Amino acid sequence: MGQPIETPTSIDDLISQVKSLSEVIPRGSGTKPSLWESSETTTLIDTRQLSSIVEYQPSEYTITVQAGTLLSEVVEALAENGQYLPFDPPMAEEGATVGGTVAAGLSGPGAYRYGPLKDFIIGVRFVDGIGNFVRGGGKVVKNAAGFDFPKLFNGSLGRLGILTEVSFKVFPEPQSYVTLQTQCESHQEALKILPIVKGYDLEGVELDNQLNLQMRLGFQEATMDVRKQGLESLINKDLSLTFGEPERAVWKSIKGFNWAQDNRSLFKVATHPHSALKFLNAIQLENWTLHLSNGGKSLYLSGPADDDITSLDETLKSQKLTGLQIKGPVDSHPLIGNTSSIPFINRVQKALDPENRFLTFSPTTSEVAS
Amino acid sequence: MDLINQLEQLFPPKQLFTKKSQLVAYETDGLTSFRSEPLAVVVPETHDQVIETVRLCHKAGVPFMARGSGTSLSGGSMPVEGGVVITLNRLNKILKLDPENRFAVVEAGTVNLKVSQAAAPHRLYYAPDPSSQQICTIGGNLAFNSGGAHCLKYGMTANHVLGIKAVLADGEVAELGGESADTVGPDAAGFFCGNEGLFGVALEVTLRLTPQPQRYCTLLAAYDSLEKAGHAVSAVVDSGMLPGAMEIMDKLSIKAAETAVNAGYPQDAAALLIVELEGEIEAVEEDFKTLRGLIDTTGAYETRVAQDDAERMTIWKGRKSAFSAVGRLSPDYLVQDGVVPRSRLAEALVKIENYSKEYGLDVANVFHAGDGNLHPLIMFNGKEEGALHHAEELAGKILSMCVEMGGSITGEHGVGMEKKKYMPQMFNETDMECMKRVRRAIDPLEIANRGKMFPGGEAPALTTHGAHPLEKAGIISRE
Ligand SMILES: Cc1cc2nc3c(=O)[nH]c(=O)nc-3n(C[C@H](O)[C@H](O)[C@H](O)COP(=O)(O)OP(=O)(O)OC[C@H]3O[C@@H](n4cnc5c(N)ncnc54)[C@H](O)[C@@H]3O)c2cc1C
Repeated sequence: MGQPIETPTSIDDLISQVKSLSEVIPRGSGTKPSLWESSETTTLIDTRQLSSIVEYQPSEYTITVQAGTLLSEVVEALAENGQYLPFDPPMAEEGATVGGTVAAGLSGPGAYRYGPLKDFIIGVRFVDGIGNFVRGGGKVVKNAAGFDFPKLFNGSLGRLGILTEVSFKVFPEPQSYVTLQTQCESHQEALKILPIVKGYDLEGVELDNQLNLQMRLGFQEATMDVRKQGLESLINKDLSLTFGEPERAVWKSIKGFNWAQDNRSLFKVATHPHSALKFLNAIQLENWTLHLSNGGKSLYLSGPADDDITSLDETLKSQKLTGLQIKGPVDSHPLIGNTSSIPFINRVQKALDPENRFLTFSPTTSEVAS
Repeated sequence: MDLINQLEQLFPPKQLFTKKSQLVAYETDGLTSFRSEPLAVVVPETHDQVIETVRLCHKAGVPFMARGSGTSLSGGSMPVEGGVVITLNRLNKILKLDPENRFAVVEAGTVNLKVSQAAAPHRLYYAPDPSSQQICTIGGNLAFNSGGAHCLKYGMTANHVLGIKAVLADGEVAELGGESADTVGPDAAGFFCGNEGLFGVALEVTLRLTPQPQRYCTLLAAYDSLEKAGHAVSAVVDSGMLPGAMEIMDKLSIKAAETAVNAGYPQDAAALLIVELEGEIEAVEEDFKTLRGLIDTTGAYETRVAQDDAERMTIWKGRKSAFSAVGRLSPDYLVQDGVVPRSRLAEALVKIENYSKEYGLDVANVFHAGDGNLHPLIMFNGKEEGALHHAEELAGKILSMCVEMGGSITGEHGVGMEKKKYMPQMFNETDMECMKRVRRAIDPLEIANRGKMFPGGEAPALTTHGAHPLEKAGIISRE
C-alpha cells in the first residue's frame, strides 16, 4: 500500500534511481502533502539523506546547502553569525527541508522587508528527468550568466527536476524585534493601514482571521521608542506592544501555520492588497479561515478538507489569481485558478523531462477527456 | 512572397528600413567592436505588429533580434547578420501605475528612468539603476537581468519583474507571472529574465515599485592602497550592516573623474570607497554612526560625509562619470564585468594589476564592491595593429580568474557576443546542453538572437570603434 519510496544517499544513487523509474516525485519531510501525494505508480524520492551545509562564508552573504537539509539547521547556522534567510521560510520548526521549501516557493512573513524566496535563490543543482546532473546560476550574489534556473526552480513543485543543492543570498538579521498589534474592524480597514506604513522598514505585516494586525519592527535598542511613536501617530490607533519570548512566539506560530488546523486544507494565493480584498468580497467561504500575509502579497486560506473547491478555483480564475494547494486532498495538480504561465512552463518541462518522469503541472488533454 | 514583401505589407515605409544607409545606425551596440548588417529593421507601434513580425520570421526561418536602445556592452543587441531587427522604442507607454499596490505595467520600450519619474509623485521608484538608465529600456534590462549600484540590497532586474507579456520565438503569445510580488508555481517571469533575447520579445512588463528611502547617508573614504579599500568593504559587511551601495574607484579612475567633473576627490588617493546607507531615518542615522567609527579603523586617511543632497550628488557624479572620463584618457577600451567572491576582492585587484603590467596595458578599476562585481576598463590604442586582440586576451584572463575564484564571467552586462566563448568555463557540457534543450523548446528554429550566449556560430570580424556614440555625446556614462 501507499507510494513506493527510494532514499538516495548520493547524487549517483539519485541519478540511477531517476533513470530506472518511470514516474517520480521528490519529497523532503512531507510537511506539504498536497505537493507530493500522488498515485501508487509514482515513486517518492526522499531527499533527506542529501543533507549538509556545503559552503558558508558569512562575509560573502551566501550559503550553499544540499536540498535535503532541514531548514532549521540552516536557520541555526546563519543565526550563529547574526544572519538569516530574508525570505523567512515557513515550517522550519515543523521539519521542512530546503528543497521542499524552494519547490513549493514558500516564503514567510519576513519576506515583507526584502522580498520572497525568488529574490534570494542564486544557484541550484538538480537532476533532470533523464538523469543529467545540471547546474544553474552560481554562488556569488550577482551573476547574469546563462538561463536563470534558480528562479525557475522557485515553485517548481518537484516537476522540473530533483533539486540536490541550493545557494542563497543571505542578510544580517536585526538585533532584536518588537511587534505592534492592533485590532481592525474589517479587512478594508486593515488594508487602509497598509499603504500608510509602506515607508517604514517593517519586518512583517500580517492580518489574521480575527483581524489582528501584527507589524514587526527590527531594530537597534537606541531607536526603538522613537520609531514606535512614529508609527503610532501615523496610524492614529492604539497599538499594543510585545517583545522578547512572547513576541517570537507570535511569529513562530504564523510560520507554523498554527491557525490552520492539521486535518484541514491549506491554500496559498499570490495577491496584492487590493486583489486580495476584491477576492474576499467575491467569494463565499463558510467555515474557512483566512490569513493575509506579507502585507497583503500572499493570502492563505484553510477549510474543511472535503470541501468542494470548484468555486474557489473559478473565482481565482475570473480574477486572474493563482493559487496553490499545500495541504488537503488533491488530484495531483495543486495549482488552481489562473494558470496562464503554464503553457510556457510546459514547454520548459518538455526540455527538462522529455521522457515524462515527472508529474504534469496541469491536467493533460487526455486526462481531461477521461 | 519573400519576407521583405510581407513586412512591407505589415509596416508603412516609415516603420521599415531596408536601405544600407538606414541600416547603418543599427549595426552595433555599446560594444562597438562588433558590427553586422541586418536584412531589415522594423519599428513597430503596436503589439500586433511585433507578434506578426515574429510569426513571419518564424515561418520564413529568418533570425530576428529585439532591440531596446542598443546600449548592451556585450554585443547582445548587435544584429544577427541577415536577420530582422525589431526596435521597441516606440512601444514606450506606461500603461498602468498602481501606487497602493506598488506596481507599474509598462511597454518593453519604456526607458528605465521614466518609470521612476512617473512613480516619484507617490514617493515610489523603480529600484534597478544601471548607469545607462536615462536611455536603456526595460525590455533590454529584462533580457540582461541588468543591475546597477544598489544590487546587494535590492537585487537585479529579475527581482523587480512581476509579470511579462511576450511573444515567444515561434509566435506564441505568453503571459507570465502577474501583479503580485509573491509567486505561486514556477517563477516563469523570473526565468524569462536574463534570457538575452533568446526566448522571444517582451511586449509588456509588470514592475515592482519600491518606497523611496526616507534618508540617505553617504560617506567617502580615501586610502593609500586598493587593498585597504577592499578590506574596508569586508569590514563593513562583517559588521552586520547592509549598505545600499558600496563602490570603489582606483587611482586612474579617480584622476580621470576629477579631470572630467571636478568632484573634489582627494587627488593623491590610491583608492576611494563610497558607502551609502539608506532607509528609515532613525535606523539609518544609528547605523551611520557605527559606520563612521568602523571606517576610522580601516586605515582611511581621509573621510568625508555628504552634509546635504548636493554634496551627495557631487560624490556620485564623480563615480558615475568615471568610465566615460577614463574613456577620455584612451579612446579605445574594453569593459569587463566579472564577479568574484567579495572576500577575494583585494586579491583579484592585485592579480589584475599584475596582468596589466604583463600585457603593458593600463587598466582602470571602478566597481560595485558590495557585490564583488568588477568593472576593469582595459585601455588600448585601436590604431595599433593587433592591439584590440591583445586587449581581448587580457580581458579573457580576467574572466578566467573570476571563474577560478568561484565567481562569474558577468554580473550584469550579459554574455552576448563577447563572452560566449567563456561560458564553458563556468558551465560544463551537461549544463550547456540542458540550456540548449530549453532554448530549442521555446525556439525550435533558434531564430531569436541567434549566435549569442552559446559558444560557436559565426562571429563577425572585430573592428575598433571607440566609445558608444551616446557616450561621446556625453549623454550616458558607464558604471
Ligand atoms: C554607458 C553605459 C553604461 C552602462 N551601465 C550599466 C550598468 O550600470 N549596469 C548594467 O547592468 N548595465 C549597464 N550598461 C549596459 C546596458 O545599458 C544594459 O545591458 C541595458 O539593459 C541594455 O538596455 P537596452 O535597452 O539598450 O537594450 P539593448 O542593448 O537594445 O538590448 C540588450 C539585449 O536585450 C534584448 N532585448 C531588448 N529588448 C528586448 C525585448 N523587448 N524583449 C526581449 N529581448 C530584448 C536584445 O536582443 C539584446 O540581447 C551600460 C551601458 C552603457 C553604454
